[in-house]
Amino acid sequence: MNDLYPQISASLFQTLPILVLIVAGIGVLVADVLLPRASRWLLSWLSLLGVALAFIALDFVVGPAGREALPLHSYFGVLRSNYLVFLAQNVILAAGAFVILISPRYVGERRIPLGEYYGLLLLAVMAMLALAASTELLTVFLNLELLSITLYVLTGIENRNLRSGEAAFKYFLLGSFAAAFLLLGIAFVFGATGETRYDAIRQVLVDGTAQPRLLAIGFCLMLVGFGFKLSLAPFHMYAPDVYEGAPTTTASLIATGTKVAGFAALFHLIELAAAWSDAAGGLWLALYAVALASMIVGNVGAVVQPNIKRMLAYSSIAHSGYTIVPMVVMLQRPDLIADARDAVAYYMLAYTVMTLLAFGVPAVLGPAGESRIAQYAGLHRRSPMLAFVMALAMVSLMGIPPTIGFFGKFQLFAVAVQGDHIWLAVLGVLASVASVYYYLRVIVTMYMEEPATAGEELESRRLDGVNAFALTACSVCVFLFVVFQSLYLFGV
Amino acid sequence: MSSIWIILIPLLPLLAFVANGLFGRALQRTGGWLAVGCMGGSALIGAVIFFGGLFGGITFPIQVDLWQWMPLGDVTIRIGFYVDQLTALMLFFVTFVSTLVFLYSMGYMAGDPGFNRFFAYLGLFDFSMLVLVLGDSLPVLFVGWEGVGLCSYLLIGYYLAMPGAPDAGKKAFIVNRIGDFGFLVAMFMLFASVGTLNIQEILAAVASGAVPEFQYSAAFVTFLTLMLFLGCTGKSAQIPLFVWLPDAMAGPTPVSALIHAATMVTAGVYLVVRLSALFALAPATMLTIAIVAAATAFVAGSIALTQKDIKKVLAYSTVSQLGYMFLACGVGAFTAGIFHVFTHAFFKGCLFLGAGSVIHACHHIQDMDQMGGLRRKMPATARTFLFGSLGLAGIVPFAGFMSKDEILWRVFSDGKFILYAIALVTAAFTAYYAFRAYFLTFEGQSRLPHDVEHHVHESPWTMTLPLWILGIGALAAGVFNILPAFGHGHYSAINHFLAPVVAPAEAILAAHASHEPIHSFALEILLMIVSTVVALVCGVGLAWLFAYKLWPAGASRMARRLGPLYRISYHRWWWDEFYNVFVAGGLKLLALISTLFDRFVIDGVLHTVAGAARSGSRLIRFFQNGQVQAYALAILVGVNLVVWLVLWYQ
Repeated sequence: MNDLYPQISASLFQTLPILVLIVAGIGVLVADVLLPRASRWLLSWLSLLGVALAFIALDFVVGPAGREALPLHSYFGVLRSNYLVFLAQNVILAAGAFVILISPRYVGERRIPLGEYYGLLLLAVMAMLALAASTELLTVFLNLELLSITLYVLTGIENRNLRSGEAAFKYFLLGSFAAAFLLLGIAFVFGATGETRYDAIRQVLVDGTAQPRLLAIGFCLMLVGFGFKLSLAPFHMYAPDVYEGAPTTTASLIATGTKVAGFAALFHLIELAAAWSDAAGGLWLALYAVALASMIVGNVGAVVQPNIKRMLAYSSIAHSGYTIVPMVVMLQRPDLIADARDAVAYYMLAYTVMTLLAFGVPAVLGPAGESRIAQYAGLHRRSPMLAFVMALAMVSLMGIPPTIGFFGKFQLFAVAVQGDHIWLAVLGVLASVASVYYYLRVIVTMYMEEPATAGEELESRRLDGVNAFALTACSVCVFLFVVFQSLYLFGV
Repeated sequence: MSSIWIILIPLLPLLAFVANGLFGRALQRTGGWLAVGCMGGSALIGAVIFFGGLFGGITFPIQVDLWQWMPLGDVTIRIGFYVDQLTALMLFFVTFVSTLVFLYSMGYMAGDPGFNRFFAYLGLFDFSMLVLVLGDSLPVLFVGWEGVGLCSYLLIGYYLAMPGAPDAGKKAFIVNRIGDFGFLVAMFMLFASVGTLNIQEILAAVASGAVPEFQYSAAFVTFLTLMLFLGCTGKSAQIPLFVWLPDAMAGPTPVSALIHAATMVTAGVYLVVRLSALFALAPATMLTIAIVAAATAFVAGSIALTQKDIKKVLAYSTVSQLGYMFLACGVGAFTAGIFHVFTHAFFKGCLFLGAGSVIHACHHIQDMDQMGGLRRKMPATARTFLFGSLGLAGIVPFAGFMSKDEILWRVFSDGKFILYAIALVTAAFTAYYAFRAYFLTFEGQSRLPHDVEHHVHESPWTMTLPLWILGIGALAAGVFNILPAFGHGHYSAINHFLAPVVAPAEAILAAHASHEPIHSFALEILLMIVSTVVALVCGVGLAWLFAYKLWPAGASRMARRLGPLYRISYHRWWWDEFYNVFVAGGLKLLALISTLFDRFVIDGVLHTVAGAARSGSRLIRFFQNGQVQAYALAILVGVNLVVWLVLWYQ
């Protein structure tokens, strides 16, 4: 027992950001009960403090100590921290901070219970951090479910709004359905290899003693589970309904943080599968089909969406499709794993930055800005800054240089070309051509159209300081990480 | 030399840009002073580096690695600065002249509604220019190259309401794009053959003979360097792309002085010298450069003889002088070319700022026929303009003489006697138009409209101080490189200073030379006397005669007698008209064909595709019916698809 103690204490130290968020989440829930109603606004600052502390823990406490020793294994290899995880956790925390910053007015206007909202938000962020680092089958499942349950509640938290409840219920039903497949897949993989830890499974795969057919089906079913969380076609159908019904702040977290954590976890799984020489057989084909379907369904589906949040949901499906392109490549070409990792990491960052902006504007505009795109007509005269930020997000999502969206997409497809998947790159680029239409339509509406009737007009809103800060910081990032394309490595 | 100081050089002008661009409305005139201060700081560092290098104390090269920009396949583009003797020289005069122009603009642009916008653009320009000079790889250099082009465009069109100004900006931009195309092609070729874009790595790889294309294919090297030179003809206004520079005079005069005379337009010369070891491998390109440059010098010089607009005279003069610089490069006298860049910055900067001072005083009259006799009202401007003219005309022993005569001698000693003759005639042109401008503007009787003449006054100190400094520079900048003929090269500081930079190129040229260069001290002195006499008699003397003594009757009689020659010069060889008919006309025809193609073929395809996308979208929407059962079914279909795909493949 004595020799376990140092490893456990080291593990506790390495997971300090997660522990900080657990404490902060529970702290917010407790404070909600203790604080008088009038001073509940403090909760948002309290949760922001929690995220900030987690950030400090990650980058200045764990980071410097662990950076030399990457990859780190905590809790006997159940959690792993490497370069990708480190970056993903930073992005998740930044997304969490952004959502907290744009929340106060939104939450206040809708009478969403503050304690539950912020507490669950922190716990969701915590689950994302843990999911990104999970490298053990059951831990993956537990963290994914922990994340899912918090998100179900956050989706349905606006209890005065029927659509919110409907969205939560759909999310819950389909999420459970997909989780069953994930669990089945885990069982198959365990059955085929007899191990649950990734490093142990890898050893079995390298030795070639695994049951190949069982293992292949297991990986496929796990892919279904992840595909649901990442809203990859054809597991995507819940996404437009959930994004539309959920509070916009929640939706922005579902679209960014969840996906970043999911991508990191999926990347580890695919990296593992790539170690299995037989996996090149069929698994890449399945992933190829899913990537292609997502890019096409997402981009084509968004074309006729009149609702801004549904449009963004389809856009997010398409971007998930782009992001797994390097993973398809690395299944066949293990020598490109490092390139694929860099491309996925950079795209996580790029996608998060621009998607947060795109969701941030409707959230700040409030009730009127959350439904029809037509209501954005003439926005540039009433709220020039919001219109500019939205336009910036659209241009970046289109992938027009010199924004981060272009360089992110460029790196993804560069990996595809390097790995001789030229057709995948060509089809991906063609699919993203369609995206120009619906993104540009938002810009055209904002800058060139006038509201048809007086009632259509969005009320002009003054930006409060925190909203303006969050949107400005995010806009700066759209260009900052273009100039410093390698500084996101944080010196790793 | 700590690298932080080198990073500060471009960073300070960037600060000026940000401050004036974002907080201009709050800063007002303070913003201008802030910009002057920032630029002064850069100039101080630049001077320390240059003189430190010149007198010892700083050893070159200094490499500053900043960060990795982006991974591109197997290579990663790094951002870094590289300071050697050439960079140090460029840094020094760019920051020095910029500071003076910034200070001058405090007076010239005072009261202009776009005061802070102007300083923001200037700051951005200097940032880009310094990145161009400092960049250690072609992409970084190209960022600066495009940046200065952008600022040039913005500043030419600065007076948005002035007729022709936005068009002139567009013209500059479009013509430069043609040159940039050449630059890009050259970059692609270098990348494909050498595999890196870092300048020093390229030069090292080519020198070591590790690049087969450079070893065995003369055509490859020639084409590559010609493409590079095409880029230079755009930026540095050489035939065939020089037409944008005279139009660029629509911008405010400090801009003309800084961007379109002293700094940006010399970027092409800088590029040629920076990559001189590549150019030296392509004798055909070198000859092309020399011929194009001599032709440019001659044509532009001849146009400048008869122009009436004072800024147009100076603009064509700049084109002509840039021709001299490239002529020097074309005969392998790279240091002489760079030294002419250096002295030119002083005397042409001085002349442009002097012209600006005059235009400022005369309420934006630029026609020299309407000036005259301004010396009495603007003594400081007149004196410094005279200094500038002396420098430009190449009168012994002033700056222009030191640099131009070395070029002339190197052309002669290289055996290019025809080019020498052309350059000598151009030298006479130079002296003529320089003093013609001086006499018409400052001497004789005033011909200004009365209401304007009443208000003419000397400019404020912010404008005259830079004039004096540059004027003295125009007289004395030659001391940095006393002609090698005097004192056997012991006093040619710049030649010695730049020797390590151009040594590889000169070694290649010497190895491939078909004949020995002519070495003769007596001949050199003789030619020097010839060129001085030509400049004094044919240039200054005739200018005195026609622009002062016999003006206007004698001048117009002379113009009539010369008939066609005068018209060729006055109408600028009908160069713009030629381009309008043949190039622009051809492009318009192409545009018409493209429009038809676009309307009937592209649009047709597009509408079909868009229709397909739209119906696809409707289909997806149809399945998205809100029923959870349907969604679950989709997941189930997906599961089957994925699993059966894998099993089938296995």
